[in-house]
Amino acid sequence: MADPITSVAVASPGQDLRAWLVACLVLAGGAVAAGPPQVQSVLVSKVAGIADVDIRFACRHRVVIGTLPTEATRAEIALVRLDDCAAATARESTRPDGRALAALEDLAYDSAGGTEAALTLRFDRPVRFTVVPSADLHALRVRVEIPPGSLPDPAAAATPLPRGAAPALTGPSAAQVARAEERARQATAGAPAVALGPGLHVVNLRSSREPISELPEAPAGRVAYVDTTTIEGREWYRLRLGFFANEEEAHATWLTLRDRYPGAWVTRVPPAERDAAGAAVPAAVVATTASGGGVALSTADAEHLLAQARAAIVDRDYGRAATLATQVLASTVPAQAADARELLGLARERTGAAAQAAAEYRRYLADHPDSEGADRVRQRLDALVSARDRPRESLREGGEQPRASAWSASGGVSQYYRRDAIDWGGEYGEVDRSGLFSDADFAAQRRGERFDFGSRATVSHTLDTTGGERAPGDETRIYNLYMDLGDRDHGLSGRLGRQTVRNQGALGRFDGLYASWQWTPAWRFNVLAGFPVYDPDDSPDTDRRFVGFSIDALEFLDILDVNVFASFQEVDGINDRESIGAELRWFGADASLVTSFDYDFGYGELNSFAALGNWTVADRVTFNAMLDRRQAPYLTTEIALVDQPAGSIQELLLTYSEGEIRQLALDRSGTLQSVALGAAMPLSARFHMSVDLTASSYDGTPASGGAPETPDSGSMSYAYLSLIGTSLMREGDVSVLGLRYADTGAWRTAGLLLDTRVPLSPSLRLNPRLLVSRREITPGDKTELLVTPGVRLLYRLARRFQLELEVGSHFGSDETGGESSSPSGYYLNLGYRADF
Amino acid sequence: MDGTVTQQSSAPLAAALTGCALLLLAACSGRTQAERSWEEFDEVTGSAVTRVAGPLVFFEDDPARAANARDYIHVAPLGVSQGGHQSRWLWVAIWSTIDRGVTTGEPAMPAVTALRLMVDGEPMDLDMTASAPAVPGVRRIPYAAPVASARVLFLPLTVSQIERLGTAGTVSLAVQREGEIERVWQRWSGSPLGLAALRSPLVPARAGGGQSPP
Repeated sequence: MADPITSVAVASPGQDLRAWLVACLVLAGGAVAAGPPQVQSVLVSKVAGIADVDIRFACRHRVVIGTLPTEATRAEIALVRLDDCAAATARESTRPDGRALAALEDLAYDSAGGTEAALTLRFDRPVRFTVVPSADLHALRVRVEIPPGSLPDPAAAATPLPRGAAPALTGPSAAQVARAEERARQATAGAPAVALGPGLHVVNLRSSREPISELPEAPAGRVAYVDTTTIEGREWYRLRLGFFANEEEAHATWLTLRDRYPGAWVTRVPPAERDAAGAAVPAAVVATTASGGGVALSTADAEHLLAQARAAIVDRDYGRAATLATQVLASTVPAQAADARELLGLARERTGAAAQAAAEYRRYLADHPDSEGADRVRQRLDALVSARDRPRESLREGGEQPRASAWSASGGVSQYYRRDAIDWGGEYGEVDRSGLFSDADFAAQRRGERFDFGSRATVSHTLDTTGGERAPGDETRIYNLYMDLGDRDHGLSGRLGRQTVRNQGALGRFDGLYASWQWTPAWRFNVLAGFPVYDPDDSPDTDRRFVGFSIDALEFLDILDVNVFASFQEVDGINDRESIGAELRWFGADASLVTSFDYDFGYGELNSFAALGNWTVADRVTFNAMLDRRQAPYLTTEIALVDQPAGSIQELLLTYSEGEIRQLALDRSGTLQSVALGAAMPLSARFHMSVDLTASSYDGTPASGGAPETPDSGSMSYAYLSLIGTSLMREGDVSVLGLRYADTGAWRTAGLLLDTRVPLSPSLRLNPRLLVSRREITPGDKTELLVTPGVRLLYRLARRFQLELEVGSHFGSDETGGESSSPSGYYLNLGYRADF
Repeated sequence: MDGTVTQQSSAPLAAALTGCALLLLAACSGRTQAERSWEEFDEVTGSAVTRVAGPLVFFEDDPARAANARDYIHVAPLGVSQGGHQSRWLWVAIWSTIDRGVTTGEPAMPAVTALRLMVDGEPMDLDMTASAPAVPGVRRIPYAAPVASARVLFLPLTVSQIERLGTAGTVSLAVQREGEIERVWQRWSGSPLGLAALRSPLVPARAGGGQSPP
């Protein structure tokens, strides 16, 4: 099995030439590549200081565990793979666009086959994160909270948002910051501290995400001021009028102002806010200046408050630190003013209030230019200004900022040599497979003022070194090779080339065009047309073509996300598929339901119907259930070729009429019905458990046209139980014990899996595994027992370069009709992965 | 050709459409609004307590622990009239389904250090320094804590805050817990909004600017 690598990253404009040379080489050559990617897409967005990493998989995955109790630079999420991809080996890595928004270095997907998989996210600094699985189990969201005060990596900060990502709503724009900073500077520079009355009630006139520059004239004895607060990392500005001795006084003023400020309300504020208002507000905005120059504090009191403020900084209680520092500044004790000013700036900086922090630092340097902390504060100020001058995470905010307009490119390559040899003895003999698997993924994109352009190529190559007659041979596969063009002004976007769409009536990979028009945020119209590609090894086949239309409606009737589609496909000039269908998704607070159907009105057959529900009950158990009814193989006219000597429908038309061919197609497609139930639950602090039960049946197909009958399968059952432990030996390790059982009538199998991933050091991980499998095959009275121990080492040589070595052996017993043998063998996997 | 023509049935389509219809019905259920308020008189204390239909429920997910692991905060306004004095409070109940003692060794949910209502997206401060474990003159609180272990407290509301809430289209809750940044919690979809009921019953005389606050 090849090991795909899918990487997307971004380079600076200076890297354009290199990026395009690389992209052109890949587009022209297609010399390398691998198996179908398990991670279909990764989208990073950031809103209100919280970054979301949305990961979409090719098939369904259940999150078993994904937690770390503290801040960490690595998130390892244990997954259980469902559906067909459960058998595939996969090792993938991606460095998605916009990853800097989440302080993300890269993301790796890893499965050595079977149902277990692990998703690993590496961050460039300690972050807090939570994992939110999607209801349809095809995606999960990693919500990343970056602690305030940690500065982003300069290279990563230059990363633009991916096309289509949610707009990153960060702090105020550069111009707004500058204006706020100037106002703060004006407000604090040289303005005498104003002592206000004892009242703590204020009228909050209005709140805004934008800095408030216009202060209304205050009534006599009152002061209008702007209070700032931070919620979810975003700054709010509140225009307030104070201070009133009690609610009654404030209420009376509120009544006179409510028409002008309809959203106003009265509240009581902490004393520190009043003191800060008195210290920071220029006297000009106070109609009547109260007497006095500040709060009387002794030197000891001031020192005590400063000590508390420093402790609050250490405890990351920046709000309290700012309050305490402000109290000292508002006092009549000058000796501690410098320290208090620096602490106040530091507290503002740590909460992300860059403008206020810069203003405090400048005030410090103006008031205390020769103090011992001046150099330190100057460095803080320089760092703050430098950080702000770097390209901002949000490229477009309220239309005020010009968009970055530069090419960017990224990619990754991997090469693995794998050898798998086992000698079964007897008639089966030795099976020896070896090959060099090379994978590459490149992407280039340009974001313009109006148009976005992108392209991507994902290719793999297998150099078969097995030798002999049974060797599968070399293989080159192209999974993606497309260009994107988007027009933001008109909501139009298009993708041209080899691509994959798994819904909207498309049957997967195709060569063609996918165009969309985003009419409103909730409504989108799509059209797809092209040539289906059933094997990525195939070149474009124009004998088979399709066109489809679909409509996406988000929050339809406020409760549903809906997609409806119609698709028409022909092969060799006759109808291959005429289909309509829909997908409906409903998400409740603790339950969800996703259902879809695909009806072929040409054949009058329901090609597929599926319903998937999730339900979480208060005792921390998550249940899921799935009902699936589908035609297998999927009903198209082309499946009439199954078991026919003809190689194409055109050839088959020489023997059969179109009607007879359609009947053959109907006869080749049986109905597969499955019901699955699953549950997942935590057992204790370190252990989680999940169980899945599936029952299915296949009703068989009749003999016709020379093709043999496929008998009814009878009932088939599958059971899987997994127990996952975390941090059992070292912090961050993940161990899985899996038990599986399957009874298909023709064979029964039982298996046990032990898998542990242990971080030995930040750059070295050890992954021992043991798989024991016993299978009874009814035809031939055969019993197999196979034990496969192995160990895998992952060593990160550099930030973007990783080496991997995996070795293991096979041994066991095989009894067939009273004869026994002892199969034995080994496997080796050695390779590297590099991202750039 | 030895195949036989298969009978084609419309039953699967009917089943699919029925499933979609059931889905719609299931999704539509539970969308109720309570826009009333009630007044209860305590003959012993002589206080009249005005309440709304039920609390607003806010939660924060922690699916990393378990899909249903959440911290909850219920809030509901409360008006108290006793001996001519009127006061308004926000009843707050804080509880959790996260068993931190078991899962992480943390002793308990971090203390809530600040609460703010987000009214139509804008923050409205609540006076945490004036929080009280009980309301003077009220023996029986008309709202029930969801679990016995819930931490219940009362925060004073001003008349203008009640008025503002009464005209709000959306309300959410910003919560700051010890050692964490302030975050906006989601409102539980099943909890009634019913804020229009807040206005006149809880602020009978003040909205017009006549009566003095306590």
